[in-house]
Amino acid sequence: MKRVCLYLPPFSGDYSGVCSALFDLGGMICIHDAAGCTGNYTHFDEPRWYGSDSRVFCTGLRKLDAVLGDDEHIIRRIISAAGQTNPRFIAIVGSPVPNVIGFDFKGVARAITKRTGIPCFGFATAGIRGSYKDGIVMAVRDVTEGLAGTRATSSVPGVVNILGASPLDTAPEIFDALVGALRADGFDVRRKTNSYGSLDQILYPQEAEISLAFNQAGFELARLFEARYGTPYLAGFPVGATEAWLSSIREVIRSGKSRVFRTRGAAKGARDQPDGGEKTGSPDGMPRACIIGDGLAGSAFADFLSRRGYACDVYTIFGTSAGMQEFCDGYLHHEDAILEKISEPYDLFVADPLILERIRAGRACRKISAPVHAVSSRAHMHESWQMTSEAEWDRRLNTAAADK
Amino acid sequence: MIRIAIYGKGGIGKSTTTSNLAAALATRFRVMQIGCDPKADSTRDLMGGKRTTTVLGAIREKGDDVCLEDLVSVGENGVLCVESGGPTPGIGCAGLGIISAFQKLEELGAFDVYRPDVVLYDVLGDVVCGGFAMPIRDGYAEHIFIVTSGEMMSLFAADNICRAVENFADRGYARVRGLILNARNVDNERELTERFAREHNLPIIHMIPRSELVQEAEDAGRTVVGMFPDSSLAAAYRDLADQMIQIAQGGGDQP
Repeated sequence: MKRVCLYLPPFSGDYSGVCSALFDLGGMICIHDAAGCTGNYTHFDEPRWYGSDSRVFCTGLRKLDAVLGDDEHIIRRIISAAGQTNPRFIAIVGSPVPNVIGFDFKGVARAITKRTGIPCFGFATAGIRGSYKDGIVMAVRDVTEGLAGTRATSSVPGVVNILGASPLDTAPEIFDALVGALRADGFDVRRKTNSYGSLDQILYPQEAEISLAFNQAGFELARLFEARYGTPYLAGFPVGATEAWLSSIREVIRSGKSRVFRTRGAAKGARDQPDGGEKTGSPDGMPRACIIGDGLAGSAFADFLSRRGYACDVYTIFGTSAGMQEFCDGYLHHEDAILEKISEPYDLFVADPLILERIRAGRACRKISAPVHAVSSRAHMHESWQMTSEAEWDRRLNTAAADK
Repeated sequence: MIRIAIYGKGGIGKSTTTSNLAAALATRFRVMQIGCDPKADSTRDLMGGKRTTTVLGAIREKGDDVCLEDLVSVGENGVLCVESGGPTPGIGCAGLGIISAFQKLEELGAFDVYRPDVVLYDVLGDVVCGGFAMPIRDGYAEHIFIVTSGEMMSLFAADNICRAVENFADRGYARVRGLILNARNVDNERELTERFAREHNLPIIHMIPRSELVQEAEDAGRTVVGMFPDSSLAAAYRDLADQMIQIAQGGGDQP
């Protein structure tokens, strides 16, 4: 019963991550589900899709299709839609019902590829295990493996690949600010206008001199791309400190050594208690901050807060990533763990507003709202702010102090 | 790694054949046998007549704490024995059970940890739904052998399996490589089976003669290969194993 959410919504699932990663790559996305559910995925989970002309289709799964396993009906519909839209690739994205009846996503994708000549990918997502993070990784991993070309055998100077970025955890103003800083410094960011990625990233991954990761999904993909294409990575983004970040990028390109971006070395965690006992303040008398959300984004916030004198703990709520201990203190894997964490005596909490709302009324602590679409969806998306700006953080720290 | 699925009509002797194959192959290879039947009795003859913990049973009992050691038992000749298990008869969904069991084994990296040379999937009866086709999907078995006798219902079931596999020809599924004739001593058994094989362009890999030794070994919770290694029946199983490996490695009769 620990997986039951009583107070918080279930976070965006793996299917949302697949949809988000593939949104602007020129493919045709087919969500294998009953019609009404696709509206949920496109309207609430992926903020860009609703009202856009992106090619997302619903297979319109019906009870009899499920009972009889009428895959041919689905295959014919997908092939028909592809004939009208001529996509660069097709993705079939799963939902709970097809998984329950054992729909063979990879087998059907292979059959469609064979019949149409269009590369087709099947993703057995169901929103049950993992989070959108896993969907992003799955989508980029498989599509890159299937489509990567051989135009270049070596990297092209100045080309950077931002991997795994998604509005599900990185709001457009944050992404735009980071891309703007990169371009102003002369880097070539493979990205279409107003989008988070481009098919070039997928087709020619070996052209990038460096992979950049802003979230855990990006971190996992950066490690994968390092293993697969030898591309070094820098994980994390700056809050202020843009020059230091750009300088770190150049250093990673020069040295070929991947790392996590920090301005202060390994940030001192609030958890670093000498006796491992009750946390009633940091050992150095520093105020203690708890950051809950994506682990890598949280690490960027922690880097800033540590410059303001906080001892920070960072907890992810979107699943573990191999190697995340470099930047994250743990995974809060169900609602109870989150509620327990926000009941601990921290001086400052940074989290999505739906999580902050669960902090007991009258509790003496500061709170900074950091909306994450994968948590609060449209409920708080208009409260997003420029989280890469030191001035914005300082203003909120001061406001939070006044509200304490 | 060679991955083979054994299909055939219920009660035709799939588990007996598979267990004897596993015991024969285990003298040369590291073998894992995965029973895909809610009854969970595929590996009984390799486990001294005892039932092992099933994958689904372990998941039910331990939830997320389940580990590979809970799911894999070592049987006769060192064969790694796994039973997918399934729901209580009359309720639940056996097909989904197999899917869930396979997903758990994959999640725990069973093949990476145990690194078997040969994996034998012993699959229940007909391919009645998506779950029972799971062992022949991309990433699982690559070769299918059908156990049949010359009885009409057994050949009928074999035909169903062939047609199911044919339906999935463009999905990259496993291919049927041949028939194993598990003799029941019915009239014209060899001729009937040969006619079926010709119609489906399949070889009869081997004929396993009917023998009381099977019953005797099963009563003792053993395989014929293990209990009567010098018998002609054990030799037949060993010959069959050799031929199947040869076919799986690209040699022998190819349909």
